[in-house]
Amino acid sequence: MTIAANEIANLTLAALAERIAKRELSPVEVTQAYLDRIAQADPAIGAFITLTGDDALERAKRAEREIATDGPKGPLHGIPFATKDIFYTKGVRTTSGSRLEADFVPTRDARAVEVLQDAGAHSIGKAHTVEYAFDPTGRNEHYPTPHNPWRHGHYTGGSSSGSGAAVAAGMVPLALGSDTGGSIRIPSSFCGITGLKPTFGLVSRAGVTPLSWTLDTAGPMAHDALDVALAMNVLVGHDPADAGSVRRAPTDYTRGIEGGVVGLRIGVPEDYITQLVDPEVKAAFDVAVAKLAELGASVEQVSIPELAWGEFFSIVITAEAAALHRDQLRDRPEEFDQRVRLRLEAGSFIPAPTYLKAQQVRALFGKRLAKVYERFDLLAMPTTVMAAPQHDVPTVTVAGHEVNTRDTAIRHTRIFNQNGLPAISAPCGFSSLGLPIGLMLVGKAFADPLVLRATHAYQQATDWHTRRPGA
Amino acid sequence: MAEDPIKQMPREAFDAWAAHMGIDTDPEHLDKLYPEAATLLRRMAAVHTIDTSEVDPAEASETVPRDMLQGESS
Repeated sequence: MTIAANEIANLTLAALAERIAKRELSPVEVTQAYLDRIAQADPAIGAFITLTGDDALERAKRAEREIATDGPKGPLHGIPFATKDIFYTKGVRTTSGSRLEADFVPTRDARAVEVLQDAGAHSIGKAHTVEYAFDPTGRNEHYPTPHNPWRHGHYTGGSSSGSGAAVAAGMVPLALGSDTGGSIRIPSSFCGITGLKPTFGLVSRAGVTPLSWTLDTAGPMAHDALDVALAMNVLVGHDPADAGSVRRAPTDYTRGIEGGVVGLRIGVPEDYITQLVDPEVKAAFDVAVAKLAELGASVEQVSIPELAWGEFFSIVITAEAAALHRDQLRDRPEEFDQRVRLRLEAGSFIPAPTYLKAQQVRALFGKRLAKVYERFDLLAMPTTVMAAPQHDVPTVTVAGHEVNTRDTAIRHTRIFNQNGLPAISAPCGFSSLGLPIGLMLVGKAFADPLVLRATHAYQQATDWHTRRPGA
Repeated sequence: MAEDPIKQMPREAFDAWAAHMGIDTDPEHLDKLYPEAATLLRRMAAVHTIDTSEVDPAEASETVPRDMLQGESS
């Protein structure tokens, strides 16, 4: 069976793996199809800062030989992926979205890149990020800000801006992202893809430029929950090189993914959501939750007053980021993205007792959430309170309120980084401008398989995740 | 209510603290930095109003809360 190149680029990772296993597609064909899509689409979108097409084709040829001899060693064998440009790539420039790192060429791969490559996948290029992953919109002062594949001139979300755009536009079936306050989920929501912030400690951050060591989490971005689960099977593993890495029994993240949502208890913090949400986003979210109920979940409203503590958690991230970048701020301040610089410098004013108090508030929040998770298996919220805003708009109007774009983009996501909980964003509708809307499901710690199972059930019953921009 | 932190750190004190921290003291730059810091200062004042007496200080170094790990096996 012949599959046209443009069809290849629209396939899911699982579908590609199946066709590669059946020898209906070869890794070289697949990789070339994505390179062709990049050549066609990326000049307008700007998802990639560095392409490594020649290396990807070489690796694809090697995968092709290996598969011809021994068959695929797993579903990722021969699959290209995009690497957020804060993950080290041996011999390939890694800018972390900053002019300060413009010439940094690592001598090793990040562990997450390494394990994907060990599984037979190959990086096709480095995807844009905001500077040091410290902005949720996708904006970058020094490198081009990617455009949302669904609507030119709108943000992709950040900080994994290029990763979100690359998957959405069919330039890769899988991308690596990182999430400190929403940086996987926000671009997944804005770009209409599926992205998981795994439980803290499951995926190694060794070789990933840090932003906030108690919050940073690496994870996969793809078209749907099954693809994310396939990537998790490879990415999860203890790594002594990451101080936050946890040792867990091996888990097959695809096992039980077909289990559905019958009997699952899903809590909806309605009172918090309705404080600030775009009506179109709320309407799509309500329909999504109703679908989960129709599929057999028990959906109930829950009041969690502590969700209002979200803005306090900026103290932790800002203090840790300021500490990490203190020397650069002192020695080379002009080379920073000036908005990022201001936020980092502001972090210098946080006294140690206040940082530690914020850490205690995190712990208290975790205690309160633990009580909530005695009553519920999952929490559901819109991933973001609005669809992707236009580039360079410092404020947006949401439900009649003029609010700061950056703080508003991160409003629903950052609260769940505080306790390392697994949280996914999956597409659940579109705004009247044709921009995607995301559903976020959040489980308790290490309930990543349950989060994936519920998302998969939702995606088996809906088609939002199958839609592609320009189709 | 906590005292307004901006009153606690008026502009002159902010400028002096910025210099102490090695931040560029060009007035134009500090004009931009002051509102960013002021937002954070307000949040810092508010966070101290939360009663955290039920938290063991040692728990504050755990990203994943131990309460959520009960019954978990690793």
